[in-house]
Amino acid sequence: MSATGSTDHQLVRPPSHGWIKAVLQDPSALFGVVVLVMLVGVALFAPWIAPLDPTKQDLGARLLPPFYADGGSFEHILGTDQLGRDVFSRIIHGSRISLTIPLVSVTLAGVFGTAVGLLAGYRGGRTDTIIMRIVDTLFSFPGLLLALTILAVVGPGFWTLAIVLSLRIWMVFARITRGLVLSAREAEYVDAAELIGASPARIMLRHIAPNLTAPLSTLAVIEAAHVILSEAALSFLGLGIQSPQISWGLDVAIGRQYVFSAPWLILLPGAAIAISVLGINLLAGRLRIAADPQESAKRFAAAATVPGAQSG
Amino acid sequence: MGRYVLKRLIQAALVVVSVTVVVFVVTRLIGDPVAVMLPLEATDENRAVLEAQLGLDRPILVQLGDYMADAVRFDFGDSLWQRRPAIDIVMERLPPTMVLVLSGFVLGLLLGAVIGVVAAIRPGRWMDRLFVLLGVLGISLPQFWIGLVLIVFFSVGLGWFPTSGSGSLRHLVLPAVVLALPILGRIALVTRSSMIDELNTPHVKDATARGLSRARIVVAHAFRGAGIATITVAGWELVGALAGGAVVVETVYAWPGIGFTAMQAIERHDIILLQGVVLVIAVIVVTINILVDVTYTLLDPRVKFD
Repeated sequence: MSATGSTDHQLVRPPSHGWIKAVLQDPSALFGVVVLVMLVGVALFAPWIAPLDPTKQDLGARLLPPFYADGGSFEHILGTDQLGRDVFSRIIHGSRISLTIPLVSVTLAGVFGTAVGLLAGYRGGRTDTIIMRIVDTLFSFPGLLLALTILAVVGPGFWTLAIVLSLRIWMVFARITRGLVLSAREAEYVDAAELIGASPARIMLRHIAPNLTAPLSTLAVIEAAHVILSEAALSFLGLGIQSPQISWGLDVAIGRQYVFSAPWLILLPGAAIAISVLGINLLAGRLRIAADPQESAKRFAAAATVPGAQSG
Repeated sequence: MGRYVLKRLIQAALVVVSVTVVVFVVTRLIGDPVAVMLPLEATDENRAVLEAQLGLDRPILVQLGDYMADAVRFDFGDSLWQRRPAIDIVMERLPPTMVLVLSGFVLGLLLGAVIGVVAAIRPGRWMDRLFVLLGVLGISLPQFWIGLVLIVFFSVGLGWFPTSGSGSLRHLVLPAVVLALPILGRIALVTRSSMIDELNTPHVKDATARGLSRARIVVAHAFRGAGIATITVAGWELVGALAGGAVVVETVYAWPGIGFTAMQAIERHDIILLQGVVLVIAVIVVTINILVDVTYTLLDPRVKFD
């Protein structure tokens, strides 16, 4: 988008309410915020929230149903698994993996991918061609299957998993960053800075980087949801988090053997994944609009021309 | 056009070669194939025998050369588990995967496109909001979980469909639906968003001014433009279903396809079979990517062939 282009958008831009207010007014985004806050809160304070030790076995209390089913009680509010471990406490503790794996993977992928994208976009020419050729090639890799192969050979575990997952997503950051840098370079204020002899590092940090923060943080949120799903799937397949560490995906895999007798072992930990990812994706959808002036202009324009359309 | 296709073919070959090298590096250099294949109680002698058998005692570049030469001919060696050529097993298991992936893909693509178009007609109304939520649900629900949930309700509870296996149309329903969900979600969201853009372009407004019917404008004018974005995303989704979704869904439903085979190979420490699966899938993925790119350039006159 050129500098003149953005003034055009100013004309049709809706009166700014600030994005925090916009998020709070949108029920689905608000749901996302609540889910995210709960996920972080529960993960941070898991030992204080969980009523019981999530790894403590009680063979006398095996496969007890949750409170809503026949024979359920509030002693084990969400029932127990085949070793008599408390399902509710395991879900509480499982949130830690669903928070830390995306945090590590997205940070690694984001830092590396953004650096590569900055280099390609700013240097241009042959550097750009080579880097983007590599990125394109990696996009054509059979992602999950290759991740499975690496994990099967190297051996699963927290760090292998986090690194393998970041290997699958850094290219997205590289591609988006490069695109943003290319369009920012077109801007007149960057030309002006170059003309008065500002150093490349200064131009990069002072003039280009501020254009990147909003779209890249939205991307990080979207990719975090993606990583949570991948972690859960790989742990479900037995190639991710290993017992005694607790992961929702791994617990679903264990519950699979009791699909006839104890379906809550599948339903409940899986629901925790589904709600977390749904919340983050709903929030990301709203952030994407808030972060992109063209998007919000489009919404405003759509609302102005199509009867009955409002933001939402 | 001919030059463009040639260029894409060279790029595709490059992708396949780099996947092959990555798989080689991962299985032979980073991992210790002999240790993975042998039981824990194996002696050094056992190790030496297997190493010689697999040719792992030769210089690494010789190994890579041989490996590439064999891979070109789809000769990955004999599966350790079934003691017959890995490529034979892969080719036997490929058709069930194709049936599953294509049914799921067609289902997701058609439903997703319809939902996206209908949502875009009146953005912001309750129908649009409902469909957007449906789309986000499609991309948010873990496939392995929704697969098991459907088994709990429809197979165990109602007894409508078998819990696992293959052989009849009833076996196909649940896995195909699970495979279709994320495709439906993404296609719906992308189609909706590009339809809203198209409905606001000058040529669509012009068509409205000329008094063409709303239905005709939506289908004949706006969807023609929006369809290009839909096809691009459809290509990605097909690739994702083949290289990712199929593994998960086939494992949940014990569907005897290539993804289920990959998991069996991992359980049995059969690296030969596993890399056979990965490389065959890589070739198929690359082929799909070329087809999508060519379709895309044919549909959109604005794209130049270079």
